[in-house]
Amino acid sequence: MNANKAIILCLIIICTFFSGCTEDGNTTNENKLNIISYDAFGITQEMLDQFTNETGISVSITRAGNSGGVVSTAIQTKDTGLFDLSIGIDNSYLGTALSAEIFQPLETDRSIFSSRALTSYDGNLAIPFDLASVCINYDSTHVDGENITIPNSLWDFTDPSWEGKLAVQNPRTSSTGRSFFIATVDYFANDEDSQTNHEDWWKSMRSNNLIITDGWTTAYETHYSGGYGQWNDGFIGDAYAVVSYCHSPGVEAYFGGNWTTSVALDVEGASFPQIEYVSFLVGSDKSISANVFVDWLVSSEINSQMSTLNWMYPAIEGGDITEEAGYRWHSLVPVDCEIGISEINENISTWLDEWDTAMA
Amino acid sequence: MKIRYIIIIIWAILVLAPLFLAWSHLHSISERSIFQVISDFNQRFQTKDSISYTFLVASLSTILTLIIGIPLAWNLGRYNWRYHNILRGIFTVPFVMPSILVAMGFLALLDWIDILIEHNHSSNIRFYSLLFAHAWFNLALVIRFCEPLLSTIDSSYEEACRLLPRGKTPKSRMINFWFPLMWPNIAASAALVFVFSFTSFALVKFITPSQRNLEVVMSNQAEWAGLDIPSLGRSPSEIVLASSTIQLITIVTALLLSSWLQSRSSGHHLSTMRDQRKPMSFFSKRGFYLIIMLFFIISPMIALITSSFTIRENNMMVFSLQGWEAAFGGSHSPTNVYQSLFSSIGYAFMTMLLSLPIGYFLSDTIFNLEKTNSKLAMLLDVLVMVPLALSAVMVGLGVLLGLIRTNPDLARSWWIPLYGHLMLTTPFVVRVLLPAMRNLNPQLEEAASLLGAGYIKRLISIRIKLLSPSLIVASSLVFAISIGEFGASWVVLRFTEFTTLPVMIGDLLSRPGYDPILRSAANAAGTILLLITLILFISVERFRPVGSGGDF
Repeated sequence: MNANKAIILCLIIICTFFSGCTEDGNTTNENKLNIISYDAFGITQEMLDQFTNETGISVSITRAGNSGGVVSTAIQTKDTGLFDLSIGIDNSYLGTALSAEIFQPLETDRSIFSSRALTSYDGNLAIPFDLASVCINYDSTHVDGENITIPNSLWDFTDPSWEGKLAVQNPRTSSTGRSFFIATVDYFANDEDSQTNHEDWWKSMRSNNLIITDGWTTAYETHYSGGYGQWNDGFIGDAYAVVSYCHSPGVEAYFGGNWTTSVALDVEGASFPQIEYVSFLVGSDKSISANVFVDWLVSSEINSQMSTLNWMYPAIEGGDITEEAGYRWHSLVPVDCEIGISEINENISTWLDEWDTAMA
Repeated sequence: MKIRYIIIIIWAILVLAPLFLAWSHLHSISERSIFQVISDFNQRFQTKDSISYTFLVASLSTILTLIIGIPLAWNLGRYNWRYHNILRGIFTVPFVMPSILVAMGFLALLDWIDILIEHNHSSNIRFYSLLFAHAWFNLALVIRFCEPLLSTIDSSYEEACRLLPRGKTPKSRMINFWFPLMWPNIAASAALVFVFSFTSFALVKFITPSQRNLEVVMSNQAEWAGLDIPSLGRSPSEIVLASSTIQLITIVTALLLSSWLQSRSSGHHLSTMRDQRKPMSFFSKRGFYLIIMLFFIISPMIALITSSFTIRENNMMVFSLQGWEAAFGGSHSPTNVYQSLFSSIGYAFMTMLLSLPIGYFLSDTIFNLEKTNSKLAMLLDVLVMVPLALSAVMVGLGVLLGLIRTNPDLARSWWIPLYGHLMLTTPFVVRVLLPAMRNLNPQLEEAASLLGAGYIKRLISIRIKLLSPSLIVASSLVFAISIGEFGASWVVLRFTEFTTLPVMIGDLLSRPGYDPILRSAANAAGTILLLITLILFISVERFRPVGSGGDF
């Protein structure tokens, strides 16, 4: 190829690229929603395209890591109008978001939601769209009642037989880790033993070589012996139990042809009811479009598919996870801890600082 | 004001402004001094052992890279092999591979090793794997810094050395002739290997997930850093401020050292500027060694490619094209490979158009300053390289603060990601062009000037013509780095709608992998990226000027 041809080719590519930018610029601002969500938000592009065709509102989704990333980005960009909606802020972060005053009210009819979805918050600043419980899962291949006994309380994990066998996520960097950490605070505050609290348990677990990872993926995929991670590159599989969702075994079964060795641990009060919200952000003036989108997200047609779209329970009344391929059969609906978002918001910084020092 | 000074000022603002904004904002939030925070590092889980781990990994990775890289550079520099350019392309391409793909390749490799020797992925094996991954990644630096000089040293010097008492054995010649000749190049490459190992993120995060270096620590704290909200506490801001300060001081010191050593390297006069390599066959001890090294380089690549053709089905891994279908069809991601590749190529071309002239003027200024004010030249050289030392967390925070304070709508502009690409590629343009400029014969331009040729005429007829091989090499390097760039893109690209190929891969990998297609689709997209980069690198190797002075 001579130099002239190369230059012409470069110009064609650049012009085509620029023309793409121009086309995009034709969409009017009023009919375009900019949404900030977590990485794992599972609504497909086809569904969003269908929404655009039906309403004339186009949607652009920006991914910001996990639930914490959504909160922090929403706070950092408050009042700028960069984002119209946030998707995925959960009730462990909701207090922080509410105190930062980053939400505007929505007009969604709240009577359509299940009582479980409105447990933590039933106002109009944050609308629930899905939920699940965060709890410990164990691998029944190893935790079979003979070699290792199935735990009846969280204290059982401090037994030497569990040394280095439980993987949890860092509560400062992972939303599931944070949810489980909050559950332990409430669990040990309300158990029969008034002499000990969550700090004592975490210190005991530290002595028992607890595996702490920065995110859910490393804990579940790399360390947990009972999950799909065993088929992935770099699998270690040294943990027989992991903090995940109580319906994670159900998702495993769904993709594993109704087969999994993973089981959700049923210990009363040792799980956290995680409820995820969609919110209209301060600084946006697209109230009509925002309400239309939220109504679509919590509509029966879309919300009832949450168990296979977003791998969570639907938030609407009567919504449930699918029974297909043992999904529901392998999932557990536990008795969750009961802790309010205001209590979390007031104490979480102190709890986390104490945890940080205790685990060093 | 001359255009070159305007470019220097713009560059300084682009590099330093986000850093200053982020630093001053974090400082205003922090309650404790940096020294107090650092002294508290080992008392907290989030930061425990991170400083020592960072230095340990960077130091050992540097040593291992030199152990592997110097013999390789020697064999490529002193001997001419069949398919030499292809070999050189393959050996240097790892440097521009997205680190997330390298991590995936090495993790796949670990599984192969696991079949051969039962090691159960112990933490020791993981640690050694990390060191080898860093060596694999940075090998190109040692080759690029040493091989050009080695290839142009006249063999008669070594022959003469043989006659002297201290040059009779290969070992004594190595100590008394080659090492004194080569050490500035070796040390300069070592300084840069140290820099890249020190700031490594994806490799540390994926290969040794139970350990944290400073970059991982900062990434973990990133989302809460800079937020002044009581329920979040101030420690994230304090940790990021302290970590980035340690990182910046360490890296700038290493870059200063590297720059000083490179300027020393350009002063020796034994280079003939002609190819002095001897022909060598693969059917020899050296050939066998080269084949082993080739195997070392391509193993993670092959592991990555084969992973794209396998998928989990009924609890076993089977051959499948579903990952490729998902990657090209876009069924599991917001865009498909075609659209992402198109965006990547568009950004890479535009980066090239901006980076080459900026890099040229920066190189030209450094080159001219070296003759009049060597200290200032060294400082400017370091300023050019500083973007490679900055944490993506600090840059991202600085850019965000800057945009929010000026015009938030700009954050969504399609051209904003070019900033990240420009920052990462321009230093390499300078690293390619500067040594080529040092090797130009100044008399040619002086003669042209005496004959009445103006600056533009001299630039086009002499400079650009003589530098054209280096410009082609720089262009390919910019293109390859830009097309595979993930970190900086993510920092500043996330508000725009243009999903590049590395961002698409990151998106696929960031979701829970219950769905078996996700990982295969990411590997398929990664394979496309790998092959494009490899073809690009190999095809431009023939333009690389012989003995371009011992630099990148």
